[in-house]
Amino acid sequence: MTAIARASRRASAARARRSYDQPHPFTGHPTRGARRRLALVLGLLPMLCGLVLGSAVAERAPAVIRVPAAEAALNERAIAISRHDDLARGLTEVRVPSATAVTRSTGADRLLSVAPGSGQAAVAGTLGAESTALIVARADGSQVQVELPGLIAAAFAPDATWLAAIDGRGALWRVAAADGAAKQVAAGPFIGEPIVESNGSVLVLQVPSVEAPFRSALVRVAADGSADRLTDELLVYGMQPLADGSLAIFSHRPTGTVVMRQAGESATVMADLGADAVSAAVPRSGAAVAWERAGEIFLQSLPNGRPQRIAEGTNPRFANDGQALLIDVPAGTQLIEPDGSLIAAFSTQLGFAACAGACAS
Amino acid sequence: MSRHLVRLARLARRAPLLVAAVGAAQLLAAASVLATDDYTLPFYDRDVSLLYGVDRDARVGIQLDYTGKTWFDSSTHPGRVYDNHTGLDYPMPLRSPIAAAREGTVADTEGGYGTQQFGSFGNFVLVRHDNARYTLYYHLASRADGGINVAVNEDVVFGQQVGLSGCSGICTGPHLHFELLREAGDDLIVTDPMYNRVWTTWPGRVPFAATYIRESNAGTEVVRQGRTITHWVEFRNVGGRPWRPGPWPGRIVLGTWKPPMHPSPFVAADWTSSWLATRVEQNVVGPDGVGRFTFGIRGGAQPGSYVETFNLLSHGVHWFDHDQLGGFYVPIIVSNLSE
Repeated sequence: MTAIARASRRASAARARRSYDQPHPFTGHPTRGARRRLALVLGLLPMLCGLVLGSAVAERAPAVIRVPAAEAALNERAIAISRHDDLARGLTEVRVPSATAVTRSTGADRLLSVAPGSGQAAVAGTLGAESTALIVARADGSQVQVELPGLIAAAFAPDATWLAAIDGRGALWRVAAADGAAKQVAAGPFIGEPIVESNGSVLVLQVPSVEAPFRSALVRVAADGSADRLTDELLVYGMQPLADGSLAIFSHRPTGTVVMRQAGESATVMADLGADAVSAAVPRSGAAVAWERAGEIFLQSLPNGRPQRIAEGTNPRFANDGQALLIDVPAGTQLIEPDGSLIAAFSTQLGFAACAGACAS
Repeated sequence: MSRHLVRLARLARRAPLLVAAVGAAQLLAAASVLATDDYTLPFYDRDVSLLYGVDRDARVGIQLDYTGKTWFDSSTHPGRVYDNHTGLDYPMPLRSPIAAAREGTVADTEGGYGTQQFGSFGNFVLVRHDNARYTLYYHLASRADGGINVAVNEDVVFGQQVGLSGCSGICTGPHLHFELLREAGDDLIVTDPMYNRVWTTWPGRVPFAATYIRESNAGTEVVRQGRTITHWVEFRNVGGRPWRPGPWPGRIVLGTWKPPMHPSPFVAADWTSSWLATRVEQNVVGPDGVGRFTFGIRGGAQPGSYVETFNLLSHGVHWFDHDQLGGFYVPIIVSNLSE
């Protein structure tokens, strides 16, 4: 029996247990199993109350499956990682088995993060029929799969030994890259692409609702789970660390999207991108901003440049060299020059090494 | 016997108090009915039904589903509610019209994400209402795809189309995520429209819907050339808001259909314009009430047999579903016979 099949059986068994224990979805009457349990619970109620209160924030450790390279290949679930050191100061190609095109635009398997050094990649994949897993793939072909239902995002720490991950409920987890051991840091709910800082804190977006975030606050979550709000902006779409230690913050306002530079308590507007500008990105130098509007990519030099439409595509992000851009197109991923000319086209998913403060621009 | 008399006397003395208590209870009951906030479902298609309801208190192990039922555990319940869900999910095809659930002012919009672009954020319209409530319409189609139909600070009337459905954001199938929020200091807090009974009609209706009841001279109207006869038709209001007469936006009128607003050859002197035959007759027709529409038909065409088709319209806002009206039309025979 393969690891995937074992996981599938475990998931099926867990679903069966859940459906037996739940009240009938339409009548609300307890099931046979629930009635038996009810009697037991009533008898032990006082003790259980204490236990429940004491462990209200405790979370079950996610299931972990280690998949050797040979088994991943046998099950056609191999994730290939390869380097293109000649492109834009280092580009990592990640080939996900079910990905025939860029899958950031779908809910299917998708690349989440590439580790500094690029020996590892984090992918959101499926485990069994329904459950979602954080898959930490290594260059040797082996994988560690961590069951995190509804996984939204994950990012490697600067030393690549662990990841910050956000599950479907918006809870923030710390996941060890080596063995998949996971611990919930904070319940959130959070969304967005987290950034792990060198001291172990995580920048993330706190929201009232994972499914419909019309408000989001940029917070720094410490290792103990405490969160500090970093900006008064009401709806933050993303953030990126800049080389000078400040943060670039992409904020939605009713008038449009703005890029802010946050340095301590001080915030200044770097650029006003106007309405419907999404997926903004800046290089670590902060010398330009790229964004997407209605399926087109725009680029503007900062502080005084004019917006230039450079390509069709979505989700622009700057390369390690601070010049070239990766963009998603229907056929895959493209690496383009700042003027929009094509450097290379790929049918796979690609990422740059996540610098998180470690790379020079 | 005397004991009974004493009791009767005591009851008689307390009667005013009892009457007052009953009256107060009735007033409270009436007030709770009036406390509904006059929201309608935020779409026009009566066949759309709720997929997931609001889950308000999952963190303390109590969930309130879309009917107000309380579930005493913290696991998810397939079918109608799941942990941390803050809105009502209505599955519908991509690019279905989305309507304002109540009149208000647009507070914010986003339309930059692709209609089916998966990610943390998606397209939305946020409307502020006059009682410090907000409604949120999420996962909409992109503005470039026609998904956002209103601008920030624009006033909207109830039932006005504000966007088109999509699947932007964290979304695995096209649906509308609809939230009702209320101000709490500087924050907005989600409320459950079902549990709090904010719908005009329980458990909520689309804004504009009617069914055909009857009409005068059921069948064919015969009118002599150059003369005018009077025709009336009645429809039941099965939508979520009262019908009122008048020429203003949102008032209910009867106009020509197929094609909409075409100049009618049967326009009579009492018509408002060449296509607008009449308005609802009563001052107000509440949900489930019957509204009558009376208008003249003038034999202005050449003698022969004709059909004129009509539809109800929330003036300047939205046409009703013509098929739900029974495909309302009037067969007309224009005669040249003398009296």
